[in-house]
Amino acid sequence: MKPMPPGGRPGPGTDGGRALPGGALLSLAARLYAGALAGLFLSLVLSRFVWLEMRVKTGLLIPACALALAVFGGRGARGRPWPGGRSVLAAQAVLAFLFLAAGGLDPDSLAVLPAALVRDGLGLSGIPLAVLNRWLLGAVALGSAAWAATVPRARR
Amino acid sequence: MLRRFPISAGFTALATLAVLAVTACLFTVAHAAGMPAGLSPENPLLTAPDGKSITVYAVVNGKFFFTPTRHAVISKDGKYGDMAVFKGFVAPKDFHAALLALGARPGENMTLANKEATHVEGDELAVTVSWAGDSRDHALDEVIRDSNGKPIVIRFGGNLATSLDKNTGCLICLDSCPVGISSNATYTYGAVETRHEVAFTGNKDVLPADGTPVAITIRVKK
Repeated sequence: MKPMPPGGRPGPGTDGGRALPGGALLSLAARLYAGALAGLFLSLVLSRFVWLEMRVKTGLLIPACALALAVFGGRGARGRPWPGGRSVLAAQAVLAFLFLAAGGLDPDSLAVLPAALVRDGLGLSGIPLAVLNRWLLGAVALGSAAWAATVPRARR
Repeated sequence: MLRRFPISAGFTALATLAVLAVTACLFTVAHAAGMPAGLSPENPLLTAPDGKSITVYAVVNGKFFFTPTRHAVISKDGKYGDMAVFKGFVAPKDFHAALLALGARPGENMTLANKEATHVEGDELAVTVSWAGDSRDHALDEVIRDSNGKPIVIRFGGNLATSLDKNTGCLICLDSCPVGISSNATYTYGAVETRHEVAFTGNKDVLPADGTPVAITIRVKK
């Protein structure tokens, strides 16, 4: 049994300090998702610099950040508090607003920009954004659920 | 001691829905229909029977409805194939040869040294875009927005040697370019990326959805 860290919530994949069956998988999914959101934020910011965007696919930061958090986030999170279930909603709301702002407050930008950056990042250039958006909806649902599920019940 | 992790019914429902959505997407098939006869990804360059125009197969990249770019058309096999409003399927070498066959005269006045102070020369090209289900051809000005509202003036720069050397895939650039086979004479190189004089985006109010095949027709303006 892992001890509860002093003054904080336990890391992902635990419940009140106890390891959970399947918790490692949920923790991995949550870290992948959190990393992908961070990568999405960074790639959106960098994609606004035309010189850079015309030379580098800034969307590559999405899988890079997701992998980085998946590999190193577990070690970093051990014994440290994992953001609560509401944090994922807050992170997604902020990202959605930023994408909206980048698209001149045109709601269509939400259906274009995130999927376009993910497409670039994953090298899926042959897949139309409409198709990718359906995949992303599934990923958002699974990622959010995994994130929320890694938070101990009492702390949600 | 291990305790069974509580997974709510909501979580199970969300996961099931997500799996169903992904499965449905796997069976989505996009196809090109209604393009000019004979124009396809496998045969991406057609010359009109009268020899006065060429038509190139391309697809819309919706990313640039909301992200500025300095490229109108880039060949998919070039380094920058995903960085234009239209992803072309013809190679720069074939595009260059087809323009020569139309009788277009290349400017060959752009170099890597003079690019920031030189406007591209060569014959002016009339570029129009059409797609399945649309009633008419659209000028490049209609489908690509210039933030200054200036006309897009495409000229046949030439630049084949530099194009092959750099392998960017550029077919039509939106400021004067020493690499692109043709480019916009309205601005000199750097207007988009470094001096920020202008921003170009695809016109989402006119263009069809991302991934839609389009026919880009080019003739020499005389």
